[in-house]
Amino acid sequence: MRELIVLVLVALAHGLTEHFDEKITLAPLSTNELRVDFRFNSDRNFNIETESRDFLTFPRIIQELLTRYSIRKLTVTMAHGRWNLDEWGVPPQPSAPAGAQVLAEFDAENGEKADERMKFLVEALNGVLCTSISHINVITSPELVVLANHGEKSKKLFKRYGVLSGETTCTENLTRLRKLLACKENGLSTLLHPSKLYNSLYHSSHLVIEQKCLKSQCEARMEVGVSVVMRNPSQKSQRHWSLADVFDRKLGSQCKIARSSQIDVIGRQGEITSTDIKNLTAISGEEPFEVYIPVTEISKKESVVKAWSSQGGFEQKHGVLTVHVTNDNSDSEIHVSQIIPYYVHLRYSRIKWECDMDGVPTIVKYLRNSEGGEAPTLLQYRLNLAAGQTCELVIPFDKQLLRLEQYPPDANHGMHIPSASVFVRKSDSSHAYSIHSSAILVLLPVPDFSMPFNVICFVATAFALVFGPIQLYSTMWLAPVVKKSQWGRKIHRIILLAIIAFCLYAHMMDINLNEIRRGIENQLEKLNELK
Amino acid sequence: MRHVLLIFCLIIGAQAVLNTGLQLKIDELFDTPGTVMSSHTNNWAVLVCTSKFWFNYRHVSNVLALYHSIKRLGVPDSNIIMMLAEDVPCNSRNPRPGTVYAARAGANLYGSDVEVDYRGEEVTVENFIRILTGRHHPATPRSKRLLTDHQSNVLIYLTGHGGDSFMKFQDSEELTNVDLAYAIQTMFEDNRYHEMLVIADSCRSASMYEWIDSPNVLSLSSSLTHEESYSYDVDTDIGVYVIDRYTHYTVNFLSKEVKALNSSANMQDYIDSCPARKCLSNTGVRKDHYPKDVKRVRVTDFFGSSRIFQHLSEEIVLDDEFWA
Repeated sequence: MRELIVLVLVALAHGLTEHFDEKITLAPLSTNELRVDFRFNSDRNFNIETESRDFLTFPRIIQELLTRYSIRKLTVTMAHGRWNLDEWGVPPQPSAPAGAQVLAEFDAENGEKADERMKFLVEALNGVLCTSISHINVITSPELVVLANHGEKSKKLFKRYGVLSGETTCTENLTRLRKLLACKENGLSTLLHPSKLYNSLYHSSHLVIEQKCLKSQCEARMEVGVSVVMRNPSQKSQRHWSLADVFDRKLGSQCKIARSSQIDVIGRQGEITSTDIKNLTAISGEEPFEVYIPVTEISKKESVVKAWSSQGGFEQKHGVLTVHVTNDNSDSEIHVSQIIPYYVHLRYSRIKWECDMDGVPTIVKYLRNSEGGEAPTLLQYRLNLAAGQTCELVIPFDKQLLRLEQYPPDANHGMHIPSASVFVRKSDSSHAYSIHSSAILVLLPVPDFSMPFNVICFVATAFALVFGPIQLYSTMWLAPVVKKSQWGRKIHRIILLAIIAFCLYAHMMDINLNEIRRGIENQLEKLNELK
Repeated sequence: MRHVLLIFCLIIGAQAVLNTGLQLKIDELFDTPGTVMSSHTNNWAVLVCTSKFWFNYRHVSNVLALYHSIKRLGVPDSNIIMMLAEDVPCNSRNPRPGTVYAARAGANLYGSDVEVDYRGEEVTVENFIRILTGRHHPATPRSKRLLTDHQSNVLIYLTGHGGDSFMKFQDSEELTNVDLAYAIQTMFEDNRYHEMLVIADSCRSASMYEWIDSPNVLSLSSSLTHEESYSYDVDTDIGVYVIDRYTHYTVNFLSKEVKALNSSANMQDYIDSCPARKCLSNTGVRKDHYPKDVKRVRVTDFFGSSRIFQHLSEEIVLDDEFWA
């Protein structure tokens, strides 16, 4: 306690302030689905000249990332599963596509330096979050808004955006996110129980960090979020779910250093029941603290813009990617961003929009190709949709036959085209959010890695090599010898024939080359011993 | 009252003296005494599961079981490079998401204390050799590097599907025994290890260490070159085999015989821990490049880690260059 006071005193003397807030929102979606959102916010006000090395609750590694890579704002999301837009409403923001997503805004001297910086940043994130996103498809500077929290436009900063659909997210990522929190073992973070969270319909997690400086006074922020939709969180009771049932553990401690730790339960009509466990005294008493979530169907479903992707085409060479966007019941401005990886080639001239109702609205489009062999393409469109209007973006593409080393280990599984990001802004600009469509799996033409191909190649080669000499020698063997017999030549022929015979024998008996080598080595060793 | 205290103190004192004596006696039995002075100061481990696909569950649990054993004996997470080629815990086929079990009634091996350094498609032959030789892209974070020095004891554990002279990575490429030997030779030339233990748990795994010629390397394998290795336990709920025999007996040995870091179990005990009637294959050992007698080497020299400090008696002057 005394140390805490000293720390606070030191902090006050310097003007360094740090806050930590934690919050969990529990919202029943239907009678057997529960949405859980964890949000942990840390912020830090400090003087960059005098206090850049003093830390109270803000994670030092995040501050180092912010400073080292001159990050203004960075969003990393990881998700598994599909967010059901029809039933569950607006997804947790920043919305997460299946796999991993990185959107970074940072300072750099020029574009080349920015690319290099992004490469280092991705590797650093691998280290911080235990991910493996080195192969992420990174795009330079999206022109339109991709994620709702990166809405501000700034000309000076470099923006880099990338999605990796195949990335998995598991316990080790959650552990790393938890390590960034000010309270790792107390408070609401104790409810982050991996086996419960991953046994779910959908789970996503995100890390958002940003830093703003005004002269020497800086403000750094971090948000760690985990969102889960659980199915049948508890079998025990039909009327309500308790925290212990949902998370399989009890909330037995408070986070003393948090400014607030709040549990919100959303009821039938959307009313919020809030409990601040920081003000409770009896949490660690004999009767454990408990919150009950009423099992209800949410009656008032908000209307939401919907997006999904589908794949067409029936042959190995060509395919069609269609992004469907359906507006809700009021006019909205929509930004659609679709990343196309290098392994499919776009047919630019045949990309088109198809809309029902009043036909295709005015569309502003941006196409962006990154340099380099394996760089992806970014397609971005801005359009205004009338209420209830449905539009489809049709993208025909050619599938590529890649180089052998470009195929992933399990090439027959196919390769992903990342999901499209759809940013929605209402006409009165009061409400803005982003959603993601589904990722699609494209089956690329794959060379035959399998046995028959190799066998045919090897047999043909061996036959060509072996048949020629045998044929030659067997025919020459029968030729009449006019000259005096040449012993040297005969011995040479016999040796060659013996080698061929041995090769055939080895092949018939299925003798391994390594075994032959070992046999020869053993013989040589024996010879050595004889000496 | 005073007498009781005095006797008590005497007993404790005598015990302390005897204990140190005993410790010294034990230390005489080993080439690398644990308490006085040791020739290695830190321990590192590279644990590799090379197999993709869900049905190779057992290879992931092999690595995780060994990971927990060496972590229990003091090797910190920062000194363990773990490579898992398949995301088994969060695989959609896993009936218990977020967990991995190595036995039917065992504990969950995939708790929140696990750190995986390379996973999925990053587990390649290239990355494995880069880890050993230390030649990384400059952006690679520290957690993905093997930062060993001339005083490090290194444990390399490979599990997966192998054949005569190779180990299959990801079902698409192979690490040959020559590659492995060259990588270790490069490590030796760069002074990147003090002693090394190479364990290969796969079919025909004795062929993996055949070409290793670098000094101070002890190599073990789960089967001889003409033999297959076998799995141990099947879990009918999960529907796959959950651990291989060799690793099962290794982990069993470590948990039963090597309870703490000062354990006097030696490497010969470990080599004998999986006889052919248990493993169903003959385990391979290669000692000709290892100068010590394995009976005089502690198991914890490779499977454990203590912060061993060496006292320097001479004066060391640190110049400005050091601090720069």
